[in-house]
Amino acid sequence: MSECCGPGYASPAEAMQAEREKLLYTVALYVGTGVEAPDYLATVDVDPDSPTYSQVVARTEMPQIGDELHHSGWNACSSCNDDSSMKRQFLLLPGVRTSNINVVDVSDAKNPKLHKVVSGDDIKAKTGLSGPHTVHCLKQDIIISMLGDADGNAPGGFLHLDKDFNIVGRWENDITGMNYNYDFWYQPRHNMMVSSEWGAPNTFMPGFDLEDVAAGKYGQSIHFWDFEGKKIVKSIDMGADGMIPLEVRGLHDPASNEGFFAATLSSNVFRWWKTDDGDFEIEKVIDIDTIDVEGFPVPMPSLITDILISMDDKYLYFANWLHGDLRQYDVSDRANPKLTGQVWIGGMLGKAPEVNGVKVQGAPQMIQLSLDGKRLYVTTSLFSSWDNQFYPDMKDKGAQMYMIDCDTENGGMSINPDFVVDFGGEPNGPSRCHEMRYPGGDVTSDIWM
Amino acid sequence: MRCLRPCEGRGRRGRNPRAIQAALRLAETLVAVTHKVTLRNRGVTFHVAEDEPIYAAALREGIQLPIACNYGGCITCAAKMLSGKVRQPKGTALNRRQSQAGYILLCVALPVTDCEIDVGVESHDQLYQNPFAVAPGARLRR
Ligand code: FES
Repeated sequence: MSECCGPGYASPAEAMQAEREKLLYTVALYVGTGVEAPDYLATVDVDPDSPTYSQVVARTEMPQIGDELHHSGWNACSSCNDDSSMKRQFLLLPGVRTSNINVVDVSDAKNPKLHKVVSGDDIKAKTGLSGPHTVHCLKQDIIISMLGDADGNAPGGFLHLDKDFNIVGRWENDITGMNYNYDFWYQPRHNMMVSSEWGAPNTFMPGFDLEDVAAGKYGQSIHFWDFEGKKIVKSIDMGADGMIPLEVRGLHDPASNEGFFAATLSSNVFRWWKTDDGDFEIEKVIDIDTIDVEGFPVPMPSLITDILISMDDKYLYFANWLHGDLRQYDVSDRANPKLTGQVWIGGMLGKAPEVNGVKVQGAPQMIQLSLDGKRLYVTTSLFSSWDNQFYPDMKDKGAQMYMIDCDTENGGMSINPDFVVDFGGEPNGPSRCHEMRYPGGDVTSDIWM
Repeated sequence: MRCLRPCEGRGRRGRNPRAIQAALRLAETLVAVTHKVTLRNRGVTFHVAEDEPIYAAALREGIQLPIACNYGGCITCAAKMLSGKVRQPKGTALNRRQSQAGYILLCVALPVTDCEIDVGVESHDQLYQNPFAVAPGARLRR
């Protein structure tokens, strides 16, 4: 880590040289499990030399029940590396269902403490927005994608908080063209931002219904923004090929102006890029076939629920939450990804029902890669109501976290046999683990300017 | 000077603010129409006013039921109605199949009659289905 400066690392290359991660944070949920207790942030020991390796070592409970913690983000990342007044001290944990934004102080990395709650009711009253999702810091400010209006209807917008977590208002100037909201990624050097579409909170929160897809209640467009002007400059409707585009990732090299995203329901991966004349384009580069499951009248998509890019921009990883596999692609040739690794964990095809001695509930879902690219952590829960539709036993047995060893030289993945965190054994009852973060920043949190 | 608010009449007989508030609360309970709500799988019965959501009434009784959005949009508080009738003026989270299976949303459900309900995640056995495992004809429009 740079010593003279602000948080994070001077460059992706420097981040790759950082010491191995020792702790990992993951949200853990009780929503929809039958345990009427608040969700919490679980601190997991990932230091193989520690006696508590592969165990939850701290639990930081949120103040209110029913948040549905989902994604999280920092108050500051490597984009502030040149600002010694900034510190990566606070992790923001939005509750999708309550719209509360819980701010946790990680000054003591092994024992995070609740610092503040930005009340969902306040956010609704002041901005007319609800359903907080992706958090990115923005120099001294924080922006959060909001998936609905105050009544849970589309299209939502973007919430702007100052560095002390006061509500500034809505960030965007113009969302014309945006039907729904979900994830976003930005790169100020190229004055661009990319945002994706899930659906309105009132549509996706109760569960996934194909009738809603047929009725056009889920997104199929991707939006490119003039970042400084805070307005959409181009929207692309991808039709049946691009249904429910979720996680959007950009390459880490700030000189590059391209990246990837997955259309979750269509189960395709798209490459996106900014052209020399300032236009934006996309092309489909990976297409995962649906599978006919015996007894299922409707062919089952793989459901690509999370996707990320290694810090050196060489490998793309993604999770197929219904089929049950995790994949690694070499994307050195951006337009022609090459499948180099695959492992199976749980899933509806029954290929790996038990892994490392634990019966898997769910399948690969959220993923987080070590800065050096060698260890991929994965959790198996997606979203409480969707979990209860597809993997109903998870509410009684909890979700799991695994680690995958990744070969960064020749490609390849293998499940590490010594690591499993079974959230089925949590002291207050089985919980669902979801997105993960490292205390010092990771491949999905940090952006270089 | 005329006393505008009860608390300004300190020392005067009959102007004790706490006593006035307590009397008002009592009067409200007496005039409000209430219904008996039984949570069958918890073995408890309590009275709920016609304009009070059943979730809030249960919490008042010290029973923490599942809750999240608290506005009828997210399904977390769903419970299965065994008998009785409720109004759910703001509930949007249930589709027709779920409503026909007897589910209601306790965060917005106001009792219209006495009700008997099964609550909690243990009542969700018919709430969810895997959409790929169900024939298109068997699905009902929301
Ligand atoms: S708590 Fe969300 S519908 Fe009742």
